[in-house]
Amino acid sequence: LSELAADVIVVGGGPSAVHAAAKAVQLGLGVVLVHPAIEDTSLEESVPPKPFSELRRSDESQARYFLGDDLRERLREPVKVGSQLTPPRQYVLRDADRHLPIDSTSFRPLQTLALGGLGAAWGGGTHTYEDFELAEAGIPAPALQRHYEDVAREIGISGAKKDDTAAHLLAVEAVQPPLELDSNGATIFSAYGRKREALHARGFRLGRPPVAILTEALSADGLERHPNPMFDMDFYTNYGRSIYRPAYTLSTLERCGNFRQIKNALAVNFDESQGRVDLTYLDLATGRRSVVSASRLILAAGALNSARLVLRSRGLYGVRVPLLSNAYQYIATVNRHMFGRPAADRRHSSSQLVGTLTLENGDRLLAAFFSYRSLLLYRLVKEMPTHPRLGLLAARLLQTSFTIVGLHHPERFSAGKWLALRRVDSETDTLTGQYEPTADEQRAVAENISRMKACLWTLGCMPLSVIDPAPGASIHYAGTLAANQPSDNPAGTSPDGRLNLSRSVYVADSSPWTFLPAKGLTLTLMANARRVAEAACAQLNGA
Amino acid sequence: VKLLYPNADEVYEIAVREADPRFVAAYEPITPGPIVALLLLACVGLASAIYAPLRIGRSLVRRKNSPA
Repeated sequence: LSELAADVIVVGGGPSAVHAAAKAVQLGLGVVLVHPAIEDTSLEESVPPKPFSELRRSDESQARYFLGDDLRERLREPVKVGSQLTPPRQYVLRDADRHLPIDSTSFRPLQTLALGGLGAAWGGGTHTYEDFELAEAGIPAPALQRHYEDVAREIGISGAKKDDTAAHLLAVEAVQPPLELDSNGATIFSAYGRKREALHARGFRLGRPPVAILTEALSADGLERHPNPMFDMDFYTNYGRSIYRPAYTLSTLERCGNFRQIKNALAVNFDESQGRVDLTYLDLATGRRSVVSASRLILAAGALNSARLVLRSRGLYGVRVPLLSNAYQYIATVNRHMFGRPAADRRHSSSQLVGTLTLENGDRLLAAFFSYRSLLLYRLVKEMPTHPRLGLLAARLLQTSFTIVGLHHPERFSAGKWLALRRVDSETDTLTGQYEPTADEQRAVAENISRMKACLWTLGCMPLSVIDPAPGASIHYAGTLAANQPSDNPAGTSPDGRLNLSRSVYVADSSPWTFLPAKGLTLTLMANARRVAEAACAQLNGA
Repeated sequence: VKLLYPNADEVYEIAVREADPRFVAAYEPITPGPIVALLLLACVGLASAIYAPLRIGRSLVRRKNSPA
């Protein structure tokens, strides 16, 4: 074992971790970031910087990045969370099953060891939570607002500040103009304009999605980022660093003298004594264990893995902790306003529109509208119950009008949703868990789907099918170290993020949250991580 | 119904051709206007229905002949 010392150790490499680290560095403290940092951009870098339509017509090596080298094997495997990732992004799944084992038949989360965490493959949705949502999640709203603003300025958010959904989704000032709509999105938005009153009466609103995708250049700390080139290649590359990635924040932190990082490192456990905390980590390259020591430890490895670390460090084997993960479905629809009509090639690949549906109890559902263009037709052919040549013909007829609506539901605790750590042998353990919503929760989800489908009909988007992937597919996880537990519960946290029964360990990801709104959580993760880091560093020298 | 869906080899064949620029025209959107598109889609549906029994039969034979 070797030892390193710092003021603050941050565990994790995703959006929460880098923003917690950034805040601690900004406060002048010595920070060590411990993260696995798997990175493989070779395939992405091999993609020529040209539009999708041009590459399709001219690039003889396109199979490498559009299909990957192992497509035949992947097609034979059952569909799992992460199957939707394109070949240049598949590396984010590498070694996660081996190092972050989870044994569950009813919960299939997406985990990663990638540099930038799940932010490495993030679609860019940046929604602010409203005050009532923050209150239920256990996050103090007034304390969060300035962190929302700081994060928005740093990462660059585009969106419409005054459209019908802005009041629900975009409560920050620093906003660039929205991305252009593609042909499909424009016709849906136009239909919404005509049916606005009827849709409002049902609680439905439609607007331009706030996203961490630039429409204007952004330069900060020597890092140049450029507007989205509208090449429709966003599922394959990060041209011009247009979409924010946590790795960009890391690259600016690397220039700070008070910041160090330990890469290839998987946190194993922590031990607190005499006002210091020791973190043991495994070097993934050598298999050696080392120790780093600090006055504060900030866990930001994601709700699943921060819980894994706490349960292991405190010997809480077999103890059930609660779990939140938004229910999520894809609704495949055909936009009748585009059916049989040509579409412009110039577009981005992210969501074109965002809809909110407000329920009687005040909850909001969130629907993200995607046009199906750059993911190639073979993925559609696979889902058609006919000969593939006929399926291809149908896919070509539907392509310009095919619209996928991703539907998120709000999520609360219930007894059938939990995780626990199980010891496998003296050296290894695994998370186990269950995700079984109550009958009432299932009924609410079914009703929500019906209500959203009715709104889609009104918009001219005819629902074809509802695809309900395994629980965990929303890639939104929280609640595992909940802030509403009694203060003597060793797997609970206080409102400022401090781990119960601890003086030095804080949790800066979504583990303490007690509610998951249906919205994208990444912006709130980043802002809240800064809030928790500030609390964690408050009493340290130099802060 | 599962027997009607393309198997992995069939999807792979479609995918490989799709990522070959020589065949790009065979994968472009067909946009003849909504009425003609609807007629064409109906024809695809009809052809799929007519072809379905044969496709199920072939899938069953393939399944029977494949190693367990």
